[in-house]
Amino acid sequence: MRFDARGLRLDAHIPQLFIIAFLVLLAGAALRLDSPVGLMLGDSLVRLGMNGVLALSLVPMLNVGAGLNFGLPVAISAGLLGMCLAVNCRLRGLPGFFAAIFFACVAGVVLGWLYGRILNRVKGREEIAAAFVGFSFISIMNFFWATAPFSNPAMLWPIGGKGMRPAIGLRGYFAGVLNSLGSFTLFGVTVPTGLLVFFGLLCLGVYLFFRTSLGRAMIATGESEPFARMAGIRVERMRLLGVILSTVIGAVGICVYAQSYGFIELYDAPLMMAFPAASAVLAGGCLGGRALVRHVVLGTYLFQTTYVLSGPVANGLMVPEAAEIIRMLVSNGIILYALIYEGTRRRKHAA
Amino acid sequence: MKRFVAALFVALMLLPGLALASSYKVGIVTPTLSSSEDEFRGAQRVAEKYPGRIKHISLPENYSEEQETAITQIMSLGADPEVKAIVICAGYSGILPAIQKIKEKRPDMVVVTAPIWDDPDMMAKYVDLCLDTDWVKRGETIPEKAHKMGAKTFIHYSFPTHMAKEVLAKRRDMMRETCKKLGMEFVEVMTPDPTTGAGPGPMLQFLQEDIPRQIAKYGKDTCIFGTNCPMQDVIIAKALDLKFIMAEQCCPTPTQGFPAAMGLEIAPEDAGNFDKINAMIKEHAAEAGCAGRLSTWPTPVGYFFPEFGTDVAMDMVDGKLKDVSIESLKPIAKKVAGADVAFAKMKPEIDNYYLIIMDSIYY
Amino acid sequence: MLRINDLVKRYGAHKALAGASLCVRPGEIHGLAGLNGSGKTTLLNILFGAIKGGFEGEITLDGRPYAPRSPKEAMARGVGMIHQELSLFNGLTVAENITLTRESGHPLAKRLVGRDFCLERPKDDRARARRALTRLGLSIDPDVPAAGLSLGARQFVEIAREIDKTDLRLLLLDEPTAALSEGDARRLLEVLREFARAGVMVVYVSHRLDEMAALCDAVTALRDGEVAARFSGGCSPEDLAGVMAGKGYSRIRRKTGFASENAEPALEFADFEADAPGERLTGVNLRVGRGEIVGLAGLSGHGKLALAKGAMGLCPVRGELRLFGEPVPAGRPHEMLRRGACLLPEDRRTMGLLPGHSVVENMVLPAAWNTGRFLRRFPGAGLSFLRRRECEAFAEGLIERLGIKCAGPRQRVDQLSGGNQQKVAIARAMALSPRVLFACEPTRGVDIAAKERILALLLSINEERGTSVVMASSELEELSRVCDRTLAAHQGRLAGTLQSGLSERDFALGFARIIEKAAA
Repeated sequence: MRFDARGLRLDAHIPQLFIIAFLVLLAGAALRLDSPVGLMLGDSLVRLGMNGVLALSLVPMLNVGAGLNFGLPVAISAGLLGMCLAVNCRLRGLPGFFAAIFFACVAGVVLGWLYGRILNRVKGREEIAAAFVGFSFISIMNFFWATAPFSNPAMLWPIGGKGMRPAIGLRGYFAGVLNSLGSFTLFGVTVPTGLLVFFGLLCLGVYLFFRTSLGRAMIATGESEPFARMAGIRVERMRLLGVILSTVIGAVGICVYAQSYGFIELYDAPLMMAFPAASAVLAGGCLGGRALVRHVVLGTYLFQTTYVLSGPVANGLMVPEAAEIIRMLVSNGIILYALIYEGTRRRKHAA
Repeated sequence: MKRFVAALFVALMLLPGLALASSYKVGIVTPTLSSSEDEFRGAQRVAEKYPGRIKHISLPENYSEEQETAITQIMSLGADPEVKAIVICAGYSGILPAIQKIKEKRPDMVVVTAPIWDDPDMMAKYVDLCLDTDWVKRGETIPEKAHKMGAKTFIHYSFPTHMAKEVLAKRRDMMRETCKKLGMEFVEVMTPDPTTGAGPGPMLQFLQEDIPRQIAKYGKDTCIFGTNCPMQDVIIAKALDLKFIMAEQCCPTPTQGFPAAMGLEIAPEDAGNFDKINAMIKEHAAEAGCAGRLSTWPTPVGYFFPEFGTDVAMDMVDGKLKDVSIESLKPIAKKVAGADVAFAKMKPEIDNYYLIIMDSIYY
Repeated sequence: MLRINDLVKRYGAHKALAGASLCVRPGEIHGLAGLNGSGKTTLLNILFGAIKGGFEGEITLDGRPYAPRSPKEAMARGVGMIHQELSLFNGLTVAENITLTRESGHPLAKRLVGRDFCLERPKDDRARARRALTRLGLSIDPDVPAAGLSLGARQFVEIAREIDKTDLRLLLLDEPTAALSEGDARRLLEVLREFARAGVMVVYVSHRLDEMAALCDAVTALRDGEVAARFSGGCSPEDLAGVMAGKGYSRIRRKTGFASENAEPALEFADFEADAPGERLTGVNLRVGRGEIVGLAGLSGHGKLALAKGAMGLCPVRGELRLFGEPVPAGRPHEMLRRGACLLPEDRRTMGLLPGHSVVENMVLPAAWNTGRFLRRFPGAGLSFLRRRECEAFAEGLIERLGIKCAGPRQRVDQLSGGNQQKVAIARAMALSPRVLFACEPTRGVDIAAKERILALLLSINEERGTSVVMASSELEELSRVCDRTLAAHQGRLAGTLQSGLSERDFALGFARIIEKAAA
């Protein structure tokens, strides 16, 4: 029995069912094209783990009423800083990874606090303000990366010897430490156990957090600020806390992403990273108001798997140039469809 | 503010006076460090080689929006009576008008472009020597090289916006033809487009996943070529894992892809020392069991051009080089690059526009 | 002539209307009475085309069949509606709100490019708005934005919008006086009579039975979607109450002499000043004793609601406030809650409830957050989980005690009717076990049965726990019944005190006298 006023209803998930149907279609096409479906399934699991944490990081801000975190680059910069520090100290393997996460969290708290202070001043227009904060923060970080006094030559420009490279290889540091931890292959599908367990633990943490009194106070703030204020909840504080939490999880998220991807990408790389995360949460069924961990997991898996499958299928089925266009149409179209469907349903519901 | 401007003005007036002590100067124009490291550092190196004789200016970061500023900057070089030669390594279009103006005022000014991208016929008319990389010709040399390295399949990764560019599409067609001639299978794969939507992320992630699939399908005697710079990190990293062939990056240089993929620790004192960097790459390749599977040009063209252009320009001013030809350029190029450089005429009827291809280094 | 025959509206298996029939003649004011959920609002929404999914039955308006599918269609037939929920655009001025979609245009431009694209003449709009407001006896500046108006003034602007329509045939009113004080309400009723005299049909829904009895030419009482009784000609409030409730109900009354202001003070205001939006109260010097129930009466916008908001720290204040002898810092609601004060806001839709949460969550969350009640203690109080079973038991207990009509504690609170929502809000306050309770308009928009229950509840909170209650209400009648003393607010000041023990009539007369004296 659920305690809260919500529940899993099938009719509330028509857009998701639609995406699943589309995925089944793609998988069928992949099978007919003799694509290595086992490899692709493994890839989709890797993508769930590596993108999932970034998508999860949107949840606290959504729940506290600060909207979709289009300022994710702030969180990512914190994570990049953490990883660069770990690489600079030449920390390798799992200890190196966790050291990176530790540094990232510290940076995340500091940056999140500043970022939260900004967002508290632009109440009501957080999403657009966040996008601008994110974009302008990247410029600041670009300056920082070009001049930062890091000393590990593996991270510096190869010709000038000063400033950071745009991409820092993690081979020999902590590339793939989570992906390979306890991974096994079953029927040709390689399961990245460590990655999925880590993601699962974070999801559980967020889920449990939003059942504590603090988490519930944050959700109440997100739903109705007048109510929260009247109920003795310090609204500004809750929002600040939500933003810090989002930033810290986002910082951890980019560490997870980078260890799976194998590179730390600096400079403009984080610019657009908020959008796939936001799309995933939307595709998972969260539209305005409260975001659930279920939305994140489902949405990330569905959204990323369309990418995994649509690429090879489109390349195999059509003129390669058309492949890209079809893929864009389909992956964005699905989200648009989900939004329209949800919007219509809500309007009907309200009437 | 006013005082500052005045001070600056005085300083500028004094500069020519101070400089008179030495002989003439060469102006070098490059993009900024963050837009293109190679050219910028190349120019810096020339400045070290000829202390006090180089005037290095960098064009605005957002060149396409501030073209006017760029032209003014170049014209200011032409207005300096001390500067007798200008080398422009910018890879932009729209710079020719500045050169025209300078040439009208000072017909004796030696101008070398390496490269700029304006109308070739017009360029040949105003510029003393035009240089560029032979992009299309590489459609032939790369598959040939891959074939020599033992490739049976050639995979070409690109995306629609790149394939809409004439030079890149031509090179792709040429690659396909060459492969056919050599009996290699040519495979074309489209990746998500990095110029739309979510940036290069999806493209790189696609490569991460697609390369293992392709290698599982075609085996490791496959050469992979990607048309986009960020792709090279992933391709080389995967090459170390899967042992396939990487004959050349899109911009052939040891400093692209290799440092990130191999985690090269280049000490600040070795930075820019290509012999050392190449030795390091060789060592890493052998360690990963990829000896002979990776190759590139020993020096980045962007790094090579400023120095080469300056040396040629100086020879021209000094009267050592009377007229440019493949024969007269080759020795200078070899001295600068430390490897053979092949020159070809851009068009048979133009004899001051040359395209180059460098000899390769195999790791 | 409006004729409704055997109207049925289904929501799934539930029938909101089960065969209601009625008839309204031109110039008639027709009342619709009934408890919450009896189908009154559904009927009005059907008439205004604001309901999706169709209905069964037959409606004719002026002899022609009438089945509007949208409010636009309804308006085209000369039907206007004034809603229970206020629907003004905060960003527009009063005049713009009144003339919206019917703006005056330049005659020439209108002829050239048609109504939708012609230039507007804001000057004409302002004049029209002023005319409509004057008819209502209001002196609101048509150029001020709607955002700054008090609740009562907003209601009048909405009414002015309907008055401004020239082709009005049928006017539907859903609880138009709920947000109004009695004086304002009287003024509105005057205007309605004027309308009726001009031949407009008026259908009028209200919980205020005396008002309905005095105003309406005919009354139809609904119960569970069916017509329970019809009255034409006169009827008394008692008749209506009897029919609506279905069985006899009793009116709650405070036992006199229960507590006095001379008891140990719970609240002490000294030169207190509160500046709530649309309401302002200054120069308050007041002691509220422990266990005392103090009423605040007054017309809307005159400051009776500001005291509670100011005391709770929800709006800017000046002066001093002591709670149980200790000074309270301004602007800190959590500080007040932790010291045992609690607010029942008048605007339950935006402030009083979390519409997306369940009944039980609405009841327990503030208590859990502020007092740690219902929490499974964990190091770091913020990270404690709720004791689920305790919460549900608490919720179920209160659902039964307050007679909240819901499917269970887990139902979303926005699916409940207005009266039941208000009961949930009271349950929330009870969970906090307050020592001081500020109740603002606790019975606004609820039916008579629910109203008695709510008043009984306030009394029992007070009697069981010795909670001091400060209750602001527009209904003198209820203040006279439950308060130990009642203060009358007028033009932002407390103008006088009414003692308990008076009859309702004397109480009302006393209030009028205080106001007159204050105005003079």
